[in-house]
Amino acid sequence: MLQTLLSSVTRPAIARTPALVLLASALLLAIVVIAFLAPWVATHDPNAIQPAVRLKPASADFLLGTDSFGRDIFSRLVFGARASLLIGVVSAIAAILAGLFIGLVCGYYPSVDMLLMRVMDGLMAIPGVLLAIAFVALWGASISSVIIAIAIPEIPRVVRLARSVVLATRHEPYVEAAVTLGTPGWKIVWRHLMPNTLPSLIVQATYICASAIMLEAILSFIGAGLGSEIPTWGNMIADGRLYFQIKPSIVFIPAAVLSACVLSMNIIGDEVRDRLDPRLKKGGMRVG
Amino acid sequence: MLNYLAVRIGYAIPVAALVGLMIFLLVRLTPGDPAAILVGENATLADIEAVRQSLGLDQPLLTQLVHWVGNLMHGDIGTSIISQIPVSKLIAQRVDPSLSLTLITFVMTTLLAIPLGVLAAWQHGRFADRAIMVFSIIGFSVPVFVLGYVLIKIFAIDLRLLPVQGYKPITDGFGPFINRMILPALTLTLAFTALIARMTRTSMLSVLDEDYIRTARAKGAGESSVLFRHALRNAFIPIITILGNSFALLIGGVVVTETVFNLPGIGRLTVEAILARDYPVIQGVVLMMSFIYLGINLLIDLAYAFIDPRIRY
Repeated sequence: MLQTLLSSVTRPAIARTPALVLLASALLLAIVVIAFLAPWVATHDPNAIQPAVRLKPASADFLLGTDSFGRDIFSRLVFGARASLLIGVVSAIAAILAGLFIGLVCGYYPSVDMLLMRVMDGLMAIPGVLLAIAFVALWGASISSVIIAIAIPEIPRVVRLARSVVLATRHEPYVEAAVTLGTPGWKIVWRHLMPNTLPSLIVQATYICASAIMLEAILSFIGAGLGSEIPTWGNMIADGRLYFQIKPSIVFIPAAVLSACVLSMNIIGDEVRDRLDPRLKKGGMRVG
Repeated sequence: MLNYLAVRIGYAIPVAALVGLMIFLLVRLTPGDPAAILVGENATLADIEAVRQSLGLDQPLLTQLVHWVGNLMHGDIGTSIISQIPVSKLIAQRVDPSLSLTLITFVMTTLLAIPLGVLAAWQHGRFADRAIMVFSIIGFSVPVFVLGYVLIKIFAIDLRLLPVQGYKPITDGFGPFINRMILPALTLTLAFTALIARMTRTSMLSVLDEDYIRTARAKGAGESSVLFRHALRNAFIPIITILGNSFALLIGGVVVTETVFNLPGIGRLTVEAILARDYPVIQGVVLMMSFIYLGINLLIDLAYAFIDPRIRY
């Protein structure tokens, strides 16, 4: 008994991690590195149009073939990693920060809670994809409008999460003690309540990042996303749609990379959740 | 009971009003001039002015809001600036494919996801549980439209079993209708089963920890009786809540799936409206869908009061 206990402590963390999680982390790390080094990894200019080599199969020159404009699919994939990751990460950070702020305020100040939570309920009632589509359609597609459009529908869930943690902890003795000592409200919220929300928010951030990358692809697919001069995995799939029956790989290659990336993030999110908060081990926080 | 109904309905009204206000502002608070964006790049100033006046965008914001709400009360959710057809009529024309797709998906998902979730919870930690969870995480990591293309490639292009795309109303006969509906419905069902099975499992697992489950086992109840009569009945309320909440996601899925399979439904209507910048249509559809979502969730909440006597305000 003691032996197993000791070995579990001394065994390096990496050996206790399931193989699937290691694989997902390695894949994600590779994608991040490739995104950073895109100009050096890519073999062609991702936007160089060469009508003479349209829809070519994979070759030594075009590692994964070319698309309907004769652009190199491999290079677009590599640069697409940049845009897709940027959109995913920034949307997640934006949604978490906005949601954390509103959630803390709602949890600590009952006077605004009623109103703000009704606003959040309203926001949740608008289907996220439709809200994002309408937003991008009206504001014009740019990296920042796509990020805002993706982040907004995610905010209510973050608010609910942060608020529930505040409500659960605001009557803990250490918080009451701080109140008694005359600590200003903002300081109690920031120093004593906010840190409690971090574990669940970190987990939520990985899920939002994954679904943001997916939503970007959906926006592009529907025709409301970024123009193809900024390659993303989403608009590569969207551009390839018309040629799908002639050359399925034009859709399936970016689709496979996109799915693998999202899958890795979800797997890592589940693992982080299980480690940070064993109470949640059985469950899924994610509703969408 | 009446009291509860009144409280719950009284709560839904301000939320619906806020939804309306947000959608109204979403269109009005766009940067730049919405009228100029709507008419496109090659329009003259006179064109822009004409559009602005026809939409009432030259009026003060408050006047516009009062006017808009007044129209809503009369059931007028706007008129397309392209076809000049009322949005409610456009929606009515296009509702059949979307409704069929949603209903078939909903029934198939429920039939598939709840047994899978129960099985996973029952076999917690064992092979069946792992397999279902792996399927589930893959299911919601693959975008719906990719799933659609994979199914088209396999069943329509390679095996030639089903048509690639298109829609036939059920009035043209059940065979042609269902032939074209199988793949889209299967696409959405796979995506939603992944989500709902996971949630059912979570909900079942927390119920299986309860004292009354141990009591049921202790008194010698059979395993199927414990699972279905004691556990599932109690897990049902959160599962139904999730089904209701996921309706918003289902709408998103419908929009995408209709595009993949070229179904002339409300999803296509929305996409066409976006491409044509027909903003009254975009606004009307988003509003309609949000209200349907609120209505469904209100009905679910009200249903609880009848199903579960513990729920009272």
